[in-house]
Amino acid sequence: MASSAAAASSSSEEAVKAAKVLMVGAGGIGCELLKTLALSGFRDIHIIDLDTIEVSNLNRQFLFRQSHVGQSKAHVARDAVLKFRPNINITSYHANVKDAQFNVDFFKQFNVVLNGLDNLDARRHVNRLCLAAEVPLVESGTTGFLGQVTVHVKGKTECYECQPKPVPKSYPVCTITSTPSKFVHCIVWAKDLLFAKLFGDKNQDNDLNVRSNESGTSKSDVFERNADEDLEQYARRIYDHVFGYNIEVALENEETWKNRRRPNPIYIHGTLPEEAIWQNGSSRDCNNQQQEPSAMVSLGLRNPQEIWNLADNSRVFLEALRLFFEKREKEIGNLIFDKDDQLAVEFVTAAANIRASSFGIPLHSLFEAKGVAGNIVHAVATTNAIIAGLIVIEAIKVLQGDYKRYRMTYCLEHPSRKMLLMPVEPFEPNKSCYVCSETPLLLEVNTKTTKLREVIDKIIKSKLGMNLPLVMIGSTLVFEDGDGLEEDEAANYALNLEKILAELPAPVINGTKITVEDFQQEFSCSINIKHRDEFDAEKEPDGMVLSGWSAPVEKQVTSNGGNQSVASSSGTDYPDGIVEDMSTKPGMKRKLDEILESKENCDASSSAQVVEDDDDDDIVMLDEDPKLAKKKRLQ
Amino acid sequence: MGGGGGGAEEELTAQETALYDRQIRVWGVDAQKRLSKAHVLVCGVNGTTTEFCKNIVLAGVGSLSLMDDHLVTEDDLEANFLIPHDENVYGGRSRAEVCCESLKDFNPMVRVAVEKGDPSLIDGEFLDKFDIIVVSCESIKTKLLINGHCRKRTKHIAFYTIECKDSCGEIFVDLQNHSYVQKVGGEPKPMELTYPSLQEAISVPWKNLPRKTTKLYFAMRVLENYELSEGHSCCEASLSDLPAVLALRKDMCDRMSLSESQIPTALLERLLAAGKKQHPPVCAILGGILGQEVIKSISGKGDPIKNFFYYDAADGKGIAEDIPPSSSD
Amino acid sequence: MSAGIARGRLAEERKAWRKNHPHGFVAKPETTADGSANLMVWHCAIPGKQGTDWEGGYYPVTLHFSEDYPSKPPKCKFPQGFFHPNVYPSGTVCLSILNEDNGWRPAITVKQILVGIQDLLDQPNPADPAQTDGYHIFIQDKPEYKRRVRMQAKQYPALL
Repeated sequence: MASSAAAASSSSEEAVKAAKVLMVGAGGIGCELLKTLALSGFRDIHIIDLDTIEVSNLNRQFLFRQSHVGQSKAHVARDAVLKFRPNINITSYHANVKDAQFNVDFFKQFNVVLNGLDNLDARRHVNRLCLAAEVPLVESGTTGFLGQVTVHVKGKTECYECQPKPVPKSYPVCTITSTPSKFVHCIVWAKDLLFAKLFGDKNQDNDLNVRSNESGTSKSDVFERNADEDLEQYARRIYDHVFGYNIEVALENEETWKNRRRPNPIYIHGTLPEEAIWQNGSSRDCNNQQQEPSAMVSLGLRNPQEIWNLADNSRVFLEALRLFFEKREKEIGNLIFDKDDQLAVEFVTAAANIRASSFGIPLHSLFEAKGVAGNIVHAVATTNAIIAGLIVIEAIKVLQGDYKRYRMTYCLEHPSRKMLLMPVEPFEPNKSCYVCSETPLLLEVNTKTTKLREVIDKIIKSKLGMNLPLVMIGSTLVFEDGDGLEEDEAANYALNLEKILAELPAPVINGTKITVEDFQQEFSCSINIKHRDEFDAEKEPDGMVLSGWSAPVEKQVTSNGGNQSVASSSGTDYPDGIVEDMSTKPGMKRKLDEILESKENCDASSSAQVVEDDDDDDIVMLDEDPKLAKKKRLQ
Repeated sequence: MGGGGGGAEEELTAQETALYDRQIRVWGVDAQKRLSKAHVLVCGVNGTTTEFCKNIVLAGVGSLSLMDDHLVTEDDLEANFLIPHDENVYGGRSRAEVCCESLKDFNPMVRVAVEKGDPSLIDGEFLDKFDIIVVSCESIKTKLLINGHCRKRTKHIAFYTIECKDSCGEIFVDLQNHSYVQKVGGEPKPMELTYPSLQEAISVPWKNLPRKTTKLYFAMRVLENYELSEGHSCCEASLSDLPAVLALRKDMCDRMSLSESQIPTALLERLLAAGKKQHPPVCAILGGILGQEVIKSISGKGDPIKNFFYYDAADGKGIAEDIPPSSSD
Repeated sequence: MSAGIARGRLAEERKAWRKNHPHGFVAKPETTADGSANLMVWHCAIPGKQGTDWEGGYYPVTLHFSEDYPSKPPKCKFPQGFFHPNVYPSGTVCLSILNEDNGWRPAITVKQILVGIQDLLDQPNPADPAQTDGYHIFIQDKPEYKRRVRMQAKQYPALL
């Protein structure tokens, strides 16, 4: 008996020694994972990460130091681990996992892929490559004290995308430009419209113009600084225009406000007395800060947790605007909002709060506003360490091919059925998964007015997560993207992009089935088209509806529906990954609720517990949900 | 603007706010301030406690002291990422010294220091310097002694033990009387918990425990008793002790009316075979859970574990046990 | 259903070709006047091997795939009247790997087909004659054969 235990452990040691593993991500989970892999005896580890080190990483990404800020995470992590395990091979890539070099053949060389990623897009990409290369994937994510580890093996367990995943929420343009009702709407307005308008690329479409239709002047003039205008005058004029004049114009449309609270126009003379502005202006001469310019510093506001009143917000607004023009003039015209840019965060916080005042929405501190604007997700070292440990435990099982013992493990904040770490048997592949099965999706769209480009941007790229799609109708290719195209081909496809669906060379009309594939991901799916004339602009802002792909739960992530390119480039940031919100697993949620209830029941009558089966070797069985009959467990 | 004295009650500095941004979003500014004033002592430096140390140094406790005079040997390198793979660095130096040096780098805002001495000789007064005591790889005698001291001080001192035996682990928590805040339906609600001492927690008659009590609890008590009776230090027993351990199991089970099947031979075998070996992923898990518990106890936020935690990689469960069970009335 | 299999495989072939293909070769789905590309018909060009009489020529080949592809091989055609012992007068290539009952396997890629045809150019298989002209000259008059091959190479210069 003893020898069998010893044999099992030596076989796992052999499997570990011989394994070649790929880690994607060297962030919060990645640092912990690389350390634990190295300690556990892994000798051939490849690690990919695109990012460079930032100060806010240092509270948990323990392989990094202040002196590493700005350097490649993958390279620094590698060097740090080699200090305590000098005799193993770690190959680091400071690169995007979506790069062409990481193709199916690249993935095929590994025995297992371990994800410590921070965004849905990359997770889906890796999932698809692992499916194509038939390499097992151990996937993970954390938020605060919550986390989970799941195992995905083609044909044996569900793939990462068998269950719907939360996607960034987008807001209808009119909510952002005219009728905000939540603070996040004001943030999106301040970040994606106002900030982009004043400091970003002038050629970018920007819906901020919608309300500034003064007769006689051309629209964009309002935001241009006149040659003879000093910065004070300019800042004041912008303030009055966006918080005063634009609101007045909006108020003229009575229809809008029938069932809504009317906003108050805010003008600078009402908020700050004349002298105050001047005083604030004169403080600019204390040129003692050699650090990056900050309106908070020059105004003596020190606590980012504090909620500023309207006057303070107005001062920050004016001061930040002035600092941009005085200290960072060269960047104006190509700035993109970045949550790590202090002055940008100050400006956006102030602008969002002034707008919030106008619309009767509660104001927020800079700390909170930064969280909303940067889509910052909570992250602590302990959860990452636990999750990394669980990843390694699953990886070792995968290397041994011990698929009956694979588990998805949830790390909980409060014990449920006495458990803080809850193992659950993995699910079978979802037969209607649009990624690992071949069931077609359904797209309702107006085929007589919608351009191919819109379907590609709003559905194929943003919902299905493809990067370089090929679009086919039967065996006719109407669009391809990516390398290896000849000029005439590229030109044809560019023309097709602007064509209405029904007018494509192979017409897309009611009943047409289109097939889309990705050039890199080795992932293909079919979409059945259903023509529909009308869409509800509020509820269906895309003007088309995709189903069969269960609609994901929308997380608190902002993006401007009208300004996709800007919004997506400023990006969603999940430091250490999205916890797969349990409520997104329809079966899971109910079951966990039941477990929590049953736990309370047990507490109330502990005698009931004794009757239960007490086999410690069981695992949590989430009972079958009749609605999810297709979703069967392994074994 | 840059001047001004920084009193303890003051707001976090800009440097702290930037460094701790992501975790402040989890536990709030007040908790962060409390953390920065907490002093932690770790007796016994090994794979599991180094994981814990890393976690709380990153979290930003006020200070961390390490007590472990054992000289570093090659065995110590196995599960410990704080020791550089270079005999010139660790040769002739204690575990506490070498690990202290590495930990200092992790967060310049935390004081990390070495406490020389033998944990079995610790006196009560010495403990007043600390808010949190973590003991690992010490005999049950020493653990009981330190826990007893903690409970006699007027100052509130939280006490933890943590042990990893290959793929299994145990954490014990004694917060004495612990008041904290728990969000119930979004509203903060003050809560109160009373903990048993280590002595009370390990000497409960087994027949009084629910049948679902994790088998690891019993197995760990058998090994503890065996080491005590043999005068072994922690983790010294090996597979060759199995027959004697099985005899002790029978004896204890008979005495406390528990079926021997509740302590499977295979489990005892695994624990004995482990010896001092610690499985690194399990160290990470246990060190993470303990880190989280210590943060909860310092911040007074969130339900702490009462009073044991068990993890076994074989079934993947991480279980909290309340022993002896709180009378629910 | 089978159409789906052919299309899926051809899309894979297309992507694989775009990512990597042998130097000098061309292979692309037929582009129609309306701006789409038909995956069932590929227009290709095969360069003559360096150091052979075929060097300098870029020989157009059209691959016609059927709904039964890849169970059945594509039909590969040079222009009508192409001079080569193993090319039928219609231009159809006679090659064992392109014969469903002989050497064809569904795993054979477009790249392998084109490279196989390139090999065939200067290594004709006299056991399988497909045209009288090319076969007889190849067997009876090597100098004349070489002359005809070189002349044909000039007929198909590189496309820019």
